[in-house]
Amino acid sequence: MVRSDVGEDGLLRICPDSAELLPIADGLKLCEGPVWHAAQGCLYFSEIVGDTIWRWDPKVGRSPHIRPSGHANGLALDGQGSLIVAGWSERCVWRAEAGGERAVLVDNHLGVPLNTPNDVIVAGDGSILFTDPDSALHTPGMAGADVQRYLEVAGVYRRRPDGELTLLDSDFESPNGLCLSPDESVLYVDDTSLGLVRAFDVDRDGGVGNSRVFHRLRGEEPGAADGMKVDQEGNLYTTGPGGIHVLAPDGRWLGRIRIPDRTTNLGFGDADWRTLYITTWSGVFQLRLGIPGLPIGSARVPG
Amino acid sequence: MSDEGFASLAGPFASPIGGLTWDGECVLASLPGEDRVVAIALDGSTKELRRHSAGTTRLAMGAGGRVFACQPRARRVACLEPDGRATVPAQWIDGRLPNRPFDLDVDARGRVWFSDRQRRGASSPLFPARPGSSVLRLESSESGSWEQICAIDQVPGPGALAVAPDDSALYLVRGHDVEPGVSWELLRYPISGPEAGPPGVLARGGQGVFEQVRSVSDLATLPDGDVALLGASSGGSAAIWRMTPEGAITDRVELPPESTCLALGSPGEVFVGGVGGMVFRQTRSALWAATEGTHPRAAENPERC
Repeated sequence: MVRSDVGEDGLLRICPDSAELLPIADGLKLCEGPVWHAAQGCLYFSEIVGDTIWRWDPKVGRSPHIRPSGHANGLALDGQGSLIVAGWSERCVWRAEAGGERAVLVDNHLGVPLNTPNDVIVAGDGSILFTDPDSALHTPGMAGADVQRYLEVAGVYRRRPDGELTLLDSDFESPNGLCLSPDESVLYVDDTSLGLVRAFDVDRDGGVGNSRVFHRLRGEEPGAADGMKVDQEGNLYTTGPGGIHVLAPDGRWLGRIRIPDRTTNLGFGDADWRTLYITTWSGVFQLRLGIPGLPIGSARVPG
Repeated sequence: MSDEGFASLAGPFASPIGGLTWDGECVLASLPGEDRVVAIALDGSTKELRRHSAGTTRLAMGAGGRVFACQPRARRVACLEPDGRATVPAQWIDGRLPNRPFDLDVDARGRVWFSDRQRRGASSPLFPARPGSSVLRLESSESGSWEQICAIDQVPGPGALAVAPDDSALYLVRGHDVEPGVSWELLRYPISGPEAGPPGVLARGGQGVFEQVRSVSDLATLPDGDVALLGASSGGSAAIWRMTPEGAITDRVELPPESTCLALGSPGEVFVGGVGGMVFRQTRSALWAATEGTHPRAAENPERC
């Protein structure tokens, strides 16, 4: 049984008291980036300190997919089903090619090396959006080849399918998880240092405006504004103190799903997209929910 | 006692000086409160050497214009490369990370010695810290890869350190739980094999000439092997004592109040910095006469000024 704190009636419809929180991986070090691959029927997730991207098949269990991973962080899928990786310590966003090679998609902005890309999503038009805090540059033990920060900003970027890179916004201390509303009209970004979710209106060209604080997380328990996703009704799920905080599209706090470990990110999966996969400092949990999440990768429904 | 007087060279900066080192032409100063490192020419002009310096504190010159830097927040010693990059020679040691690097020095063989202070809360399941405090050493192999080894294990409160010019000894101040009435002590560890020691005690806070000296915050070694020790009294005054490798005091130079770090420059030249954010320079210092020559590990100048 899962424990939750109900703020509004909506949470019980999303996560009934009878829901079971099941561990599917444990004994790992700093898991992140859960992404469900519908065509393969498996979950990919990263283990940052363990320097591995794992593949978890419900039928056969877990196996290393990419190791070393360059302390990879957030993961996403493009329309062809390829893994898109927020390279964190490697200071780039890269695509995992079928032959095992890595294709670097972005490693600089206007010629200046990126900080440390933390999380990544793929929009309906194939654009890649990612956050770029400087966290890997000073996280103990996570240094890559060069730990000098060159950019003055910690921003959120959009890389269009033609390769053009745009800095969407830089009004952050530590931008981290990000996601789009179901109709892609709103971009949400977690700011870990400030403990809040920021929202932006997205225009037709993919630019953003109307920056605003969508929600400030509360709680003294371990956990921070790290990863986030939305379901098909537009409810926002973000990691935070004590577990997963669920917010209605209008910003109301619906409640919190308590997780017995420090949460880092989450992603929807399974054939009906109603299983929430939750990564934590030491492993991965799954939890069946009442509302499905947004399909991703080649399973995405054209908007 | 001698006091040739210190002149203001640069500052005040907005934060205390974290560490100083001389690169052969200018003095480099870390400003951890501003998260940057500056290069100060002898005319006082200042250039920003690094922004976003990961909380760099103490500095030491290495070969080829490299600057080694304590980055306690990131629990490592990093290398500020001449081309602008910052590299981390080694991070893990026996599956654990350092606690909080405090001070460092580079020996004649290019090895980097640093004191690693245990810090409550530093360790976590994801990033476990070495148990206790120690002195660690970074050394490179012929292939160019670096490893991090423990040179002195389980030494409480390790602080300032310096290596003798001929690599014959490591000088280390420890300042924690020495014994009642003794706030610090200066130890001399002979260097012979992979580990240093056993140590001899050269000086102790609260005793003899150091009766009023409550702390020692920095050390340097002189070309002839003597040791310069920067100490502060409870009243806020500061001074550098020069002593032989055996601990005999041969000179004392008064410093601007609240000085906490020092660097030797050209022969006869001393720089100090402190909590007031000022960098001072003394020429024709009695502490270190110009006739004594250049330190055998004088830096190669990468033209930073």
